[in-house]
Amino acid sequence: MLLGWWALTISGVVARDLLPSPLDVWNAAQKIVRDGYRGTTLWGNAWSTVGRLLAGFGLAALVGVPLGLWMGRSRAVGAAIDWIVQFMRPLPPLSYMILLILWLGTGDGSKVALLFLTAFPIIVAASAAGVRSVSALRIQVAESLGASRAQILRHVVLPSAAPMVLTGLQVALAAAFSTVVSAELMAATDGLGWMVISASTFLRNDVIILCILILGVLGMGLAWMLRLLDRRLVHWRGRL
Amino acid sequence: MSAASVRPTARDFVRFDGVSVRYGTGTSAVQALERADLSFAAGDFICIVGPSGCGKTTLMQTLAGFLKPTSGEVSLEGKVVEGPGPERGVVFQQPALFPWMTVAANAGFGPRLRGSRDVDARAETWLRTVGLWEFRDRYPYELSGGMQQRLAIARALCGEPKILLMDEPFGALDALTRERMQEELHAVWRRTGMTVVFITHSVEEAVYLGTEVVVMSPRPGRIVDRIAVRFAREMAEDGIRAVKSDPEFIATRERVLSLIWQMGET
Ligand SMILES: Nc1ncnc2c1ncn2[C@@H]1O[C@H](COP(=O)(O)OP(=O)(O)OP(=O)(O)O)[C@@H](O)[C@H]1O
Ligand SMILES: [Mg+2]
Repeated sequence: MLLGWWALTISGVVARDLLPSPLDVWNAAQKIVRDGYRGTTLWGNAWSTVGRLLAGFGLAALVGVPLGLWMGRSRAVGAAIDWIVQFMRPLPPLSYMILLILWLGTGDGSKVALLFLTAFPIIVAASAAGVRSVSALRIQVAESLGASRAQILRHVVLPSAAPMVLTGLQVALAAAFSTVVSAELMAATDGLGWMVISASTFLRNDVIILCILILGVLGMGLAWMLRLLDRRLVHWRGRL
Repeated sequence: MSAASVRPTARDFVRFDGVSVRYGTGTSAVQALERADLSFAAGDFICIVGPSGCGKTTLMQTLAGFLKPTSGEVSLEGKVVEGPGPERGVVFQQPALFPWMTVAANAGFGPRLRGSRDVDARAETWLRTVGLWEFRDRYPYELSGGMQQRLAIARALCGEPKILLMDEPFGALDALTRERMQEELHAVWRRTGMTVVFITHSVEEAVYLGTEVVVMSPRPGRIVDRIAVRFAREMAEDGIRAVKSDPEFIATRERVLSLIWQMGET
């Protein structure tokens, strides 16, 4: 892909301004790392994006997993909360972002809230489904070995639900990641998304491509970390 | 060979008294069991046979405590069964193991729940008995189907139940593995003197494993006949093969089979 990109720019088929060569992007990267970008640093912007993402996603996981597990366990709680989750899930987060900005301002508050709302329904639904899918047979085996309700929850229900919970977390992280960048494109004063929009007004396509590359690598890295955790925690996934 | 001639004393280790079970309500209700009466003594090896869907699993579930009878009651040692308990071990057709635990942890799960101090020793004993000791640090998904079922049995035995309830435990195994497991199970039963309730589709299996074969009618399930068998006590010396070619064994097997056939026609 890199070679194709290079060939495309060198051959002159596309104008240099529209599609900078890999070398141009490399040079821009070095310059921005050295001098910063319009009073901000590349790392600062990257950190703003990741920080928001982790805050929103982390909160959603912290609240969503226990709530989802509880919904899965208790029919009443499940029925009470399920429709909210089902309502929220298909909504594109950006559709209610403007409200969040009006309520919470353009700062981090509205973005963390947005990311929370993006990740939360996914995590809740997956966790609840994880608990509901626990094999009745396994529970009966535990009961017949003298397990109490609390022991069944801890030793059978939670581990059984773990694969689905972790899948939910991975899907939610990917969704939150694309939302954070979109949100920064719409309204922000820092972050990689903001850099893209800012660079576009100055026709700095080299900076735009640089940001996109960094975003891609960041997204991949975060997803990879969760996958690693997944493989360590639920080594039995798909087997039995 | 009427039921009453078999050890008439202490026959009420387990009692089913007029146990009826109806699933669902209204027009879609299914009467699975209709006033089933059955009792047997400690140390018996009770094999339950009957046409598919006659309520064998349902009967076992009421004794295991997973299912409350619609009417009637089940008792163990004079105490009415109210729910599942560790004195009744269960083994299902599927092993239903815990894949997040090692083989050793699966085996020792019962005693560990109760905080017993000799968890490891007990797990070792039973894992050795079923020939899985070398695999103690593996995970269930690394075992073959037969090994998984052996682990399920070891897990149930490790809880030191007074009675072992098995619902077609060898149904999913190939013929060779199945025969080997039958021998193993039988050896454990002879050594421990434990009580076993064993549901099976195979009349042959029932006749050489059981001290008594209980025949159930098609739905709604009733106890139709109980046939005392002597081969279980002889297996130690002769082995399965010798028993299978014994003319009396063949006669008993045919008797049970014809009972089941007759019911199918009415
Ligand atoms: N949970 C349930 N809800 C409704 N009907 C049920 C349920 N479980 C079993 N039944 C019905 O009750 C009857 C007895 O079922 P059961 O599983 O006890 O039969 P079984 O003798 O174990 O059959 P098999 O030999 O095929 O395992 C069947 O007709 C079945 O359709
Ligand atoms: Mg059954």
